[in-house]
Amino acid sequence: MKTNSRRQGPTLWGNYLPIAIFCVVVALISYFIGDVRYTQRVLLLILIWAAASSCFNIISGYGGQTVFGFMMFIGAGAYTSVLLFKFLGISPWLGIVIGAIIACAIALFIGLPTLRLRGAFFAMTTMAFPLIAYALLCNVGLEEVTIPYAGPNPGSLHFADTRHYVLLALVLLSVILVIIRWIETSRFGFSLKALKQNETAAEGIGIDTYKTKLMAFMLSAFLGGIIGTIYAFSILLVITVHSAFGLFIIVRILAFACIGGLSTLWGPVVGAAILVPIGEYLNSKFGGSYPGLQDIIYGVALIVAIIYMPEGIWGKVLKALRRPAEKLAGSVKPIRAEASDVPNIDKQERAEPFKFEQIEPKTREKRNGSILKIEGVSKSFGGVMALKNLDIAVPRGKVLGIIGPNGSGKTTLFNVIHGYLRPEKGRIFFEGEGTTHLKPHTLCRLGIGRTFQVPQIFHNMTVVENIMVGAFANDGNVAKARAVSEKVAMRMGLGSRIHDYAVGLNAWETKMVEFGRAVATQPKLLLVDEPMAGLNPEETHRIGELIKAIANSGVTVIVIEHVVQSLVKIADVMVGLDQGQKVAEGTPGEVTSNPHMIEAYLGPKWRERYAKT
Amino acid sequence: MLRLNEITTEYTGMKALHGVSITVDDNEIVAIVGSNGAGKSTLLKTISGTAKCTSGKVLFRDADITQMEAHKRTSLGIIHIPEGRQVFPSMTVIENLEVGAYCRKARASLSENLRHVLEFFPILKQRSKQLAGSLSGGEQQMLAIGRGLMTTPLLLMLDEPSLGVSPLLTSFIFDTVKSMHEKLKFSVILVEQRAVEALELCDRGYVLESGRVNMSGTREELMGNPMVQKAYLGVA
Amino acid sequence: MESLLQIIVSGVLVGMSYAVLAAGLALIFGVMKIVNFAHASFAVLAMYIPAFWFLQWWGVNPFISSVIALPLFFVLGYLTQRVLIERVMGKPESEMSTLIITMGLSFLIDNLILTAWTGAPRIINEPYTTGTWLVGSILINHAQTYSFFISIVIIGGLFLFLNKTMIGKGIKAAADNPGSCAYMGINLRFVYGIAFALGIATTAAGGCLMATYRSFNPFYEESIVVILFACVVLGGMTSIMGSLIGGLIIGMIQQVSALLFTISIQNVAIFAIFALFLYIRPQGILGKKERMV
Repeated sequence: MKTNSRRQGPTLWGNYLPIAIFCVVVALISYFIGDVRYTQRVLLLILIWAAASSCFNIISGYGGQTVFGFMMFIGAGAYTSVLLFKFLGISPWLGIVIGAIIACAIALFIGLPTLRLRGAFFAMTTMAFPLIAYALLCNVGLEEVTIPYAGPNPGSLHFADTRHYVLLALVLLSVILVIIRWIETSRFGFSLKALKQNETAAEGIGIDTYKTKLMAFMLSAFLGGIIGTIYAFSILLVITVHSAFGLFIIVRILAFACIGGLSTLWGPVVGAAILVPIGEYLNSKFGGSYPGLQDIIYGVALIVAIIYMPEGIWGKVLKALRRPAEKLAGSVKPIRAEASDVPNIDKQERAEPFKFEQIEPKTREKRNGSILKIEGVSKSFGGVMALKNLDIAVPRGKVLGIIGPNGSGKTTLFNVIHGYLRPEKGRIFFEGEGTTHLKPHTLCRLGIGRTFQVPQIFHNMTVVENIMVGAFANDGNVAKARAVSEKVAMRMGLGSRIHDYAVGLNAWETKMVEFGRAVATQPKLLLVDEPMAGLNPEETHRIGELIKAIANSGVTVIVIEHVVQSLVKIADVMVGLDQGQKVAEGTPGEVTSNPHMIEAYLGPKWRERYAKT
Repeated sequence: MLRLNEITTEYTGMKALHGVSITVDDNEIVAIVGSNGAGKSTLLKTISGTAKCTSGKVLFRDADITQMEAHKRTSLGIIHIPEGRQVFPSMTVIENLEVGAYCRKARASLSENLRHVLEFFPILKQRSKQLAGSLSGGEQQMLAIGRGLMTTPLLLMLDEPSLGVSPLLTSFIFDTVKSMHEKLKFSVILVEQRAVEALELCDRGYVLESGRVNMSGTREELMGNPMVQKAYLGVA
Repeated sequence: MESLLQIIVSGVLVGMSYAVLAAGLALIFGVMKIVNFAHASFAVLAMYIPAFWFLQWWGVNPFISSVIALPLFFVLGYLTQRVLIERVMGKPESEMSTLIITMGLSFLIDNLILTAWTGAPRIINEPYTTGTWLVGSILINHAQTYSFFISIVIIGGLFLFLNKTMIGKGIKAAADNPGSCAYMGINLRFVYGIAFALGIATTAAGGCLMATYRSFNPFYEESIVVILFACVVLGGMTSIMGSLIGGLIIGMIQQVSALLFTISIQNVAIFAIFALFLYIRPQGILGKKERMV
């Protein structure tokens, strides 16, 4: 087997060294430029905007929640520290912290209700708050506040030499970058990345999406508040509502972040480094006769970035670097598991595919009885009864097959079991506990796993990272999760593709990732939705083997399937649904020859006239 | 009239059809049956252009329309009545019918076609000012079919018209489709999961299983054929 | 009593202008399901061209300009949709992309105006701007009245177009069930272009009218964008009729709050109501069945 020699595991050095180098280099640049006011100021601006864009990147890039009202936090930090300094004489150094805390508190206040809203509404609603701040401040006469300046005084954040501001901003930026890098490699980062790409799947894999979003939001706000203070004291002489809460702030942040590359570490820095000097230069040269020129450039840049380079300049660079590495690792042509082909796993594994014994199953109990009980469950959509008074007892440790024609309610049943839908009537018991109203991520932690008919994998993550998201449902330790995931990946036959991004996988491999991820959550009960869709006979057989192997390791499996002739080979018991009701139950043989089932599939007249009795 | 050669279509990233070939002649009713996930809907979508095939050819009246955009195929006379009816719920019955005649060719004969449709489905006339979303499943199905008729189809394709419709209305709909076919002389492709009703109506039929044509034949050959039952339930 | 009547009358007159502006936004959102952040900027652009500029250079009065603005901005809107917005619709993360792109566009337009005309507030100073009639003890502003009636005609025209023409029906269909349109032979991309163009044209006309009695500056959109969104949300997000009602209500709210608060708090009041509706009743006053018209 071709082993992947490129170690993906991030080391401490590998992660943070580039940032340290960056810090040193920029500091040296600043030093050697000397006391050229204008250039230092541009450098300062680059760093501040880069810091602001990076902050924004945390919640909006990595977290995928576009916060159009982001200037709320910058402005809050700025105004807080200025007002504290002016009216209470509190040192701006302390103001930095207080401002950040206030910004964070505001984020909590805003986030609690708004994070439940959908993308567009959320973005728009966040815009309300800077507007409100704007209005309130105007109304109490704080539209413009002159920052008291009594000569250079480091204690009140007034440096004579711009280079000291540069240093301060540089340190701040570096800290933010370090935090982002830490997020990228931590469980928190995985959760963010996952929920950004596919919130539904993330919920089902045990991620508390609401809480994760809120935390990212508050973190961004806190850092934004710090930036606000530094921005106020280093750039402004007079703080105005416009300069603190103005729309231009978010547009510029967006421009820099998007041109550089959202959800990459260096993207916003690159974006700021390119656009800020251009903008400042144009402004100084032509700003007199063409006042809006600078922002026109930024506006155009933003539009161009969104249309032509959504991943940004730095994102493109990363992608280009990724491709040759992929070529190295994944040099097996994307194949479908044809009978004649030898998949890229060694003989030992091929002989005993899908053995899951290494992974400790959560239950090995010899108890009988039902792991899941569905009692009297009804669910309707817009007047159509998808589930009618359903009673199903799922025997522990067995494979239960559910069949039924289109519209019989099978997927609705899964959604109800897994917490995505609430039944109108009835109750669900998992392991004896009532679970009817629990959320998907809670149910995942309790031991219900799921694969979707259309695989919901995270395309922008590698195979092993996808599986790690599942592993995190059990243990937050990154190294452990990685180890478990690599094992699972091997078992699923993905050994050669571990570090490949999921977007490049073929249909079979995608299904394997989906299964691997679900298995990594170590479920007690696995819901499998139409696994055989789109597979050829050989693959259908293999998936059947996989399901049997999972069941053999102690997991109860419920399978919905249309390819009945394959399902009967792996199911221990079966349930037949039609129009939301249970019409057959028993062994596979019993259910497939059940007259109601035949009628459900082929129509009432078939049975009457033509079927063998 | 219609010929599909070795069509392979992908749907949501998975191969839904593998090398499917079917033909439909002028003025005939063809049934396509098979279990769910067999690819029946995808087949219709490939013909109407709402799904693009990755290989193979779609030939309509000897012209290769494989690359033609979906909304253009309507003016050729290929009408697809989709699964789940897909009416426009907040428009009235009349508005739904009128928008059925959207393509240029159909606008000229709008009032005449409208008259025909209301004759075939008198209940639509009754409910003409009602919002389509408030109609029952069966009424919506009739509306969807009526809407398709507004463009004087040459090939009418129905995707599971019996779904969510009461048995009584289902019979009525099938009977009406048959009489429309006889009167207006267009070809019909009828996709149904419930084999009997479809097979009774058709001249010829195809059985799809896992994206492949399992068997084909005339109505007599398929009716009551235990191999058809096997395609669904794995047992004959 | 009289002051109440005055508030109602002024509110209705002004509210109708808001309604026209908001109608375009509701149309775009209803059909394409995108939030057009640049909407208010297009309105302000129309205040400069043709309203202000045509008046300055050729003495064309803004009421006529509002009619001229229709085809002008129709073309501009269509191009914007086909060239810019279409590129990001239907792609992954298209919701965020359309938001960002329209925001960038808004910024771009504002600053182009700034560069071309400087930041000084502009005003159209014609007799009708300040002229009033006295009916009983109620003052009725000339410009607002003319705008009122022209607005009614514009909305009426929009109504007719959507209901009586085949393309209009196609637009309604696309709003209702876009996935189903291809089956009817409706070319979604074209229909979206027309819908966007209509929305922008309507709004531009409204902008010209508003210019006759309000002073404006390149960043005026910041003041009215809140109002626009409030009207739309109040009226039910996708319903044009709804934005009409929303506009009238907001107009009146504004008049009331003008008596009590300064301009900035007025906006807060409006925004508060907007936010309230967003949480409590996102389908707006006109309720669940999101009918286009």
